[in-house]
Amino acid sequence: MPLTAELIPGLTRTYPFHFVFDETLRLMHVAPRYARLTTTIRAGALLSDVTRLERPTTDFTFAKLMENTNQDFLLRSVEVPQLQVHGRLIALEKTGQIVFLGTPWVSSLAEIADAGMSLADFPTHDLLLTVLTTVQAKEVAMADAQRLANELRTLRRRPEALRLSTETGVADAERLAGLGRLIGSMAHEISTPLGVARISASLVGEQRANLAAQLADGTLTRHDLRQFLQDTDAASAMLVANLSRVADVIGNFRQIAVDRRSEERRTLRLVPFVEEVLQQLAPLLARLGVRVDVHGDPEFADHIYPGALARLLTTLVENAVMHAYAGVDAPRLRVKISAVGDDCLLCCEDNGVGIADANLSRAFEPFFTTRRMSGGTGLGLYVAHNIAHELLGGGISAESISPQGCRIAVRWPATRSIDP
Amino acid sequence: MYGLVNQAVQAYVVSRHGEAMWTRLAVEVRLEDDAFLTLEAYSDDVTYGLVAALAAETGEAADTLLVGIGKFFAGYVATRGYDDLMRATGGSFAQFVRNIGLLHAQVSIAFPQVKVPSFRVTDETPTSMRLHYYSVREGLAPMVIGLLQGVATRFGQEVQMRHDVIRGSDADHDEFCVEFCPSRLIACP
Repeated sequence: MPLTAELIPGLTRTYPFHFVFDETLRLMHVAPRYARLTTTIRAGALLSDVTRLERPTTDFTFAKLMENTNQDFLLRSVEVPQLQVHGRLIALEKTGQIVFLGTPWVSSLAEIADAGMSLADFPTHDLLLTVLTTVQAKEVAMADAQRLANELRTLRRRPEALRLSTETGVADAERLAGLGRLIGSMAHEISTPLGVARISASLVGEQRANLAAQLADGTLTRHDLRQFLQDTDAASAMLVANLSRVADVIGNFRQIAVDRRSEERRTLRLVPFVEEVLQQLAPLLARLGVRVDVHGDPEFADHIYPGALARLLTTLVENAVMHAYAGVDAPRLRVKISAVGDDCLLCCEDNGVGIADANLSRAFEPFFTTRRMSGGTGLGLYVAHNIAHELLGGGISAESISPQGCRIAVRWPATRSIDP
Repeated sequence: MYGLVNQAVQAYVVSRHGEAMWTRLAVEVRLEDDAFLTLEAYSDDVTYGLVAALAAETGEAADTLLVGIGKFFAGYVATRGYDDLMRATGGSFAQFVRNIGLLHAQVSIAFPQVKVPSFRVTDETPTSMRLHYYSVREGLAPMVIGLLQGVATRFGQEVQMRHDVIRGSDADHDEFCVEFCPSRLIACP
């Protein structure tokens, strides 16, 4: 006995995706709205041929369906897989028929159009659309939140960027001023020896002219010739000494121009590296009989410019050799490597004559030296200062230690990453 | 008005007249914050004020601007996460218009503070329909014209809209005659 004709219009309005089948699973009636979406879900077809049972997980037989009528059923079209309906089964005992009362099932709004449906296919009692609309609204709200967070992040960065820009500008201005002072000092340092060299050269020239004149008019005596040789020897010595001085100043000055692009950072175990550098300086240290100790964790490593560290250490050692050990019986140099918080610390301690308190604050100034007459250029510690600041991004300090000697400490932030 | 509408007005102004124009409008209507939240309900005065200020700046009639903003809005909402909902509303222009009420029903359930208009379709033929537009807001009929023309464009169709009945003392709602132009199908965006 077919489903009563009076019932169908009501079902169509309330459950636009209903259908009726018998105990052989043969479809007897399919709601028009459901039927228009496929060519297979039609009266006369076997339900198990044209749909797949997604839920509950059970055999697709009449008996199993009847055992689960208290559950929500989810059926997927075999022909149009994106078309799913969910609902309940109601057994009509008098007719032996089963009515499926269902509505479309989608998990996103996008699937509605993809399955060939529209909002009108959902009955008003089905809250699925409301849920999906709310879910979509949540995504829109999240997008808003993300956009606003990005704008906020940009605004927060702006004062920091301005501050950094100002600081960079001030630092640049200070650097330029420092460069101006440095060039002025260098001009002063080389002008004196160059002046002496020029006088010596012109003196040689004059004496040579006199000699030539005496030779020409036949008045040249053996005594004159001996005197000429003595004078030109002295002038040549003065010339060489003063030009050497100029060469030293310029040579050291070139080291000030530290160039970080000239090499790549490498991860180094610092203690073995320092020992290697000191090994290369052994002949220099051996001249004064300086005993060298290196202390530190051999595994302690940093990602660093190796050349910069080598130049820094070489400069400190040369500075110690030149200034520290005059009159010291058992000269000693101790190099210590350690970690202090997130920083690396390298200390060079000697047991030499030390630096007078009045000179400590000027030790890193360019061309400041107490040994100018002995060939000091006053650029050694300035070079070390530049390497510590410019290449290592740290700082350098000097202090006297007890009972005698000096400690130069270089501290820089350790770099763990491969590229800063 | 929904923040989404104000966002669309802002995007419309910036795309056609540049950021400087938007900044002038924001100053003119004394906007404290132009970072509109999509789902927030704002005073209608903000939207009306922006349109009036834009009309004063450009010399264009407010009605003409509203038609343009309506057309722009139809495309804009799709870029703001509503494309799926619009697609679900209908597979053709006629179906979409018939289902606008359902679309607004869903929106109003999810966002009770939003005052959505309602639409009703009558006298439907293969080439035309009569659209009844009910709203508590006044003066936005030109925007509806632009909006529907923009929606039609999404479906590759062109429509002619005639404002047959204007809400006033004799009518409680607006009525439009919508004529499809099947011979002037255009490429879908």
